[in-house]
Amino acid sequence: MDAYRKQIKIRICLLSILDFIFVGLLIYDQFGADPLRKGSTVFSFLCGLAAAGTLLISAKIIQYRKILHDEAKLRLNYNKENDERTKEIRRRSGMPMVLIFSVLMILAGVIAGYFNETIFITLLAAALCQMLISAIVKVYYLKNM
Amino acid sequence: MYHIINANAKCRFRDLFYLLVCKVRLTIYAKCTIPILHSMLVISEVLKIKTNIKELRKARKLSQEELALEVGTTRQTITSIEVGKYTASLPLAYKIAHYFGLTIEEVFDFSEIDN
Repeated sequence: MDAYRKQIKIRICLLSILDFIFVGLLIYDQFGADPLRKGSTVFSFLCGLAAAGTLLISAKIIQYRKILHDEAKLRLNYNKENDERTKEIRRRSGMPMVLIFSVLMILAGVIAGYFNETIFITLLAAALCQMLISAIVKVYYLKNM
Repeated sequence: MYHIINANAKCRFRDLFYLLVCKVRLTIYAKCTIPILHSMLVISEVLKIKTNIKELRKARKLSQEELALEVGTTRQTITSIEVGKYTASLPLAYKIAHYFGLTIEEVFDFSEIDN
């Protein structure tokens, strides 16, 4: 359980770094960005993503901190993460690869979006679509497995 | 006049034909795609092993949550195993059997596999 505790601490550190990046982007949007950039679809999307990400990451950090201070919750969470059925459902819904590809597609879309907005929207829609399909399959297996 | 009637009849015939084609197509899609999707999604129906975990658990007055915590899994997994929706892996089966102080064969019913 100590190894898991250490792993959670590392996760908190990584999430905090990501949180700082998102907050930095939001501060830049509020005070530093020029109006032309603020008006672009891609930058607006990035700011929205940063705002939502900040909230979600903060919630996750709080959850992890609570888990760290409670042994029973730590064990429950460990069981939940290492449960073979959950792992099987995640594997069947193509979870690690779908998530990686979706993030890469969104990143590629953001980069390409500065040159052509259509590519950005297409890649974003494709990423969202594959994540939605993965979520549907996951819900299906959660009910039937 | 004859031409108009003829054209109308032709149109009606064409519409009916299209309708029929659509119906046939839909039937073919339904007959082909549904089983494929089903086979892709449905969990292996080959192994549905019956267990007497529920009886053993009740005899010891254990809740699913408590058993799950003891064997290092979740309550949902224990429920699925008890219902027969999910087949436990060998390590998990061993853990459950070991927890009850029994062998795997005493906890899980393999008679269907033998048959």
